[in-house]
Amino acid sequence: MVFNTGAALLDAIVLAVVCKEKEGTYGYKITQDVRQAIEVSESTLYPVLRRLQKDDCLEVYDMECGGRNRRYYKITEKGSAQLNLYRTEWVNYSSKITMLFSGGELT
Amino acid sequence: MSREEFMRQLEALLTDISEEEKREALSYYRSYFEDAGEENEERILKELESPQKVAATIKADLGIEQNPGIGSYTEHGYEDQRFEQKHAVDLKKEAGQERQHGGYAYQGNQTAKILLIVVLALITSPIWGGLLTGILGTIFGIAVGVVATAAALYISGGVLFGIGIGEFAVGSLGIGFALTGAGMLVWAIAVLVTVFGVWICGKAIPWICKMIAKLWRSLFPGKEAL
Repeated sequence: MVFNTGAALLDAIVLAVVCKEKEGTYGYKITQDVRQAIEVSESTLYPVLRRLQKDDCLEVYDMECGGRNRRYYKITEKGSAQLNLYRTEWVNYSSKITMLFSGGELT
Repeated sequence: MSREEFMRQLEALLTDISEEEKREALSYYRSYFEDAGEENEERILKELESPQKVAATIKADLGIEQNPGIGSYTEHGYEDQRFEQKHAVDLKKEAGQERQHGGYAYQGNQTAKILLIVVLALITSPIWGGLLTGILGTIFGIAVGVVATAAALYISGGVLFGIGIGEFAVGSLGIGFALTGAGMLVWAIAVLVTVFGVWICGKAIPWICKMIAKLWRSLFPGKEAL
């Protein structure tokens, strides 16, 4: 992939991935899901998740699973609002670039 | 390296962050391994590269809260440059210089780079300082020289022409023609020198200044007022 994924886009992708799971999801699964869209290394997402958690975009809870505690991430209301903002921005941004690439005129 | 060894080293590397951050990070990676299952353990260890790298990733993000402007997330995570430049970044933090907020697009290791250049520039200042002064002096010298030459040529041309006119009136016609002709020739050269002088002042000097400014900008991208 030749295009870098900036911090905002990475936040948006993670929020979108977590948002899909109503009951919440966990670190390993988030990484695998994000990887369906972009290449990320295994160590990329911890800081992102931690930051989103501190910004109250994600909430965490521990749930017992197979005899141990697993940490689940769930999107908050603030996170959903943020994700919506990202979606709008993305549509705006990507459609302009698509238009430009396809040789059309920007209006 | 085994997973236990990895976690042990990571824990040792995280001693300088808060207890809470350390606990969070360690529990994240512990369960990451558990969720991935033993069959993926080797692959993950390989992708994480080293406990040092993971520790730096964790700390780098904690650092961002105090000092946004370091590093950008790429799809390869937080790796590369800042690693090597970490020392320079720390130096900057200690110096307590102004923090820059880069919005979402954190500007790589710009701060470290700028710091490095400033230090380098200070060390080498006798060299480029002299060089810069030399260049400016040379340009100024050439400009003054050209103006003086042009003035001298106009004057001597005028004198020759004047004497030639005088010769027409009182002396020989031949000498008169020769002297007025020579005077006009000298004027012609003077005009050429003037054109050259105008070119130097109007084109060459601004061009050189622009080049110096361009060089400056390429050394200090986006930070002209250092």
